[in-house]
Amino acid sequence: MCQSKAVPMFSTDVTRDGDTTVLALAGELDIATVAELRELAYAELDRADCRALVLDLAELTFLDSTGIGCWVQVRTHAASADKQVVIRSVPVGVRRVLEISGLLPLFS
Amino acid sequence: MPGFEDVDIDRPGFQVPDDPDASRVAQLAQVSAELSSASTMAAVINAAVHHARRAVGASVSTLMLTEGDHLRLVAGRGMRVGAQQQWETFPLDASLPAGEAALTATPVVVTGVEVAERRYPALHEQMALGRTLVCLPMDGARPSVGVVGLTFEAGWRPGEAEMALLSVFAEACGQAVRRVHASGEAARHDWELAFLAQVSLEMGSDLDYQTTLANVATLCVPTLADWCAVDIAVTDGRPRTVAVAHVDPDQVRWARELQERYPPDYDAPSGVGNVLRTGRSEFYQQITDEMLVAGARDEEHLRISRELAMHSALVVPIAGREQTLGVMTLIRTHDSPVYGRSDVVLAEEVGRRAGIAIENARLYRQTQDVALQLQRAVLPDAVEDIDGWQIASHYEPGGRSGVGGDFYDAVPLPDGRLALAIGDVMGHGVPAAAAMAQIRAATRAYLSLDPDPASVLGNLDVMFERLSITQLVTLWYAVADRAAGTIAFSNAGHYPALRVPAEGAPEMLAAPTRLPLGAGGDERVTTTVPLSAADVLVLFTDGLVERRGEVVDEGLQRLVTAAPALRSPDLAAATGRLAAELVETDHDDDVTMLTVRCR
Repeated sequence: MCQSKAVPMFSTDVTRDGDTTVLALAGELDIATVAELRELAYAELDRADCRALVLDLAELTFLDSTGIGCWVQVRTHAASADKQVVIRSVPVGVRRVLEISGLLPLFS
Repeated sequence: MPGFEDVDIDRPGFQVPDDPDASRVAQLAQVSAELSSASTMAAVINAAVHHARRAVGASVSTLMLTEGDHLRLVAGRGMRVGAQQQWETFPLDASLPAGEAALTATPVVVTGVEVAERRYPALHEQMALGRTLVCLPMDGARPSVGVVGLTFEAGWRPGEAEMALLSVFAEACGQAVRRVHASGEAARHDWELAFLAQVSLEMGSDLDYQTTLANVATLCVPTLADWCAVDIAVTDGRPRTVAVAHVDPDQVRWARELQERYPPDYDAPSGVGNVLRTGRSEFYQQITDEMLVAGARDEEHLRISRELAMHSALVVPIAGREQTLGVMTLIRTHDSPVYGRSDVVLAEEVGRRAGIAIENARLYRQTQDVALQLQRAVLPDAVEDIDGWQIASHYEPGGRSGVGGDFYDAVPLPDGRLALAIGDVMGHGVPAAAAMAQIRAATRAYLSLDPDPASVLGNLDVMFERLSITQLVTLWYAVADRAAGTIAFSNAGHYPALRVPAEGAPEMLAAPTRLPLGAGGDERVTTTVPLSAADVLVLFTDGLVERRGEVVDEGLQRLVTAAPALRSPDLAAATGRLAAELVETDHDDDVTMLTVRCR
């Protein structure tokens, strides 16, 4: 009984390489976890030496519409400073959802 | 506890000499220096009891600290066997020299002769006629923080100069004890902060308060309690035990059994019921066997109670803003230390935080209800058939993530055509439901100006840009024309509608993929395809086809496979059955479906 939750639902690994920051997303990105990603992504994009943000989705296990909305917000934030946001290692399920919503070209 | 062995003292007593380097005085100065740098109680004891005894040539040295109205012997050297148990703790007012010294903050010197004269009958056995006992208060407080006791042999008795020196030494002991206490308190304070931070984290992590309380009970064990139970006031005002944690998992069963077989009497003048009524903590520092006997309902109850070996308890309120929401019972068993005042303060703080967590969870539920009401108010209760059009709908709010922002509409146009819309505000809760209401109203307004799909979506793009709306909204919008046998549509990032013909396979009404509203605008296009009289159109949102852990094409395929059932004459019933077939019972997202048939 009374098992406390030890495994986080969502985590992000940050790697900076020159003017590119890679955020490796792992776990479930949904309403409960988007704020964490948004905060982190904005902080990286606000760094003067960051020109591009790469969202690596290899370890992403779930994504809902709130998560997609967050990516679009991050992309809009980046575009206003003439910076790029791209996604890579896109799981097939995520790719389909982005295709259906017409958003895939925004992150390529 | 240090040892109590007897060691021969080479020469009893000491004298303040004219020569300041004389070894015993120098040794005592050395001990005082040692005390000033002692940072642990063990170091204080080593200096104050062991080293000082040698320095002053005492046969017995003891260190006693005041705890409430008692003195507790924390260390002694040279005591006879059994004496340390006899004097482990005794009342300040028990007519003993140490108690007198503490209460009056004045040194007390007693000789064996005086004891023999019955001034202190309790000391009679151990005070030989030639002995002198000196009890020195460790500070000027009444009672003092503690007492240093020194026994000298062979009729030696300190003079005025020696007493002054011993008093200085005792004060150095007092300062060292206070310093160690303070640093212990600082360490405890750090620990308390870390513990409370962990409690807050635990409470913030789950909005289901029963799970939260169970987690907090577990967190309290073993650091704050060996056994922790949480009772919550339920609607009828009576408490219900919602969590029990025990340091020994096997004992959880015992603890639960005790609760079930002998449910606490909530009407008793003390205990859980009383704390719930009054909102005031109860503190039982020492639970004696007599208390267990008095509280036992029968022999079996007493046996189980004794087996649980509880000896110190705290019962604290789980305090809400306006009322006590529940009660947390913390119990120490077996060899664990008894609770002190600082534990009460800490436990009450945990109770306060638990109260906030529960109220937040309730508030969250209420907010969710508000969002649901908002959504229900905006969505048509049940879409009605409109001249020549048979229409049915299905809506189920999401579970885990709260209410989403799904919406749909069916609006007859003056020329007999039918405007259809289905959309999804990407988000949850009150903001999504509010945005949904706004978009639905705007869509109605634009379609009354010009119902052409590309025009409606283009106008919505302009509205999003002018009002700086960043909320993403997917929208599928169409105008069905019975007379012309066509349907014209435009899609802003939504799932395409499904057309189920009277015969043959259902097909998705594919259109060029365009961005959702709120993603910066896009070029909107109208696609027109044929529509036959018996065709059923299925408009839906992601909740109907998306499932965790699978690619959405699987869900779309399920829909295409099951959709022919909508050919049934009773469209409303068929729509409900189709939703039930496609959606898992514990779905996260809103499920919305609109079905339309041209009659």
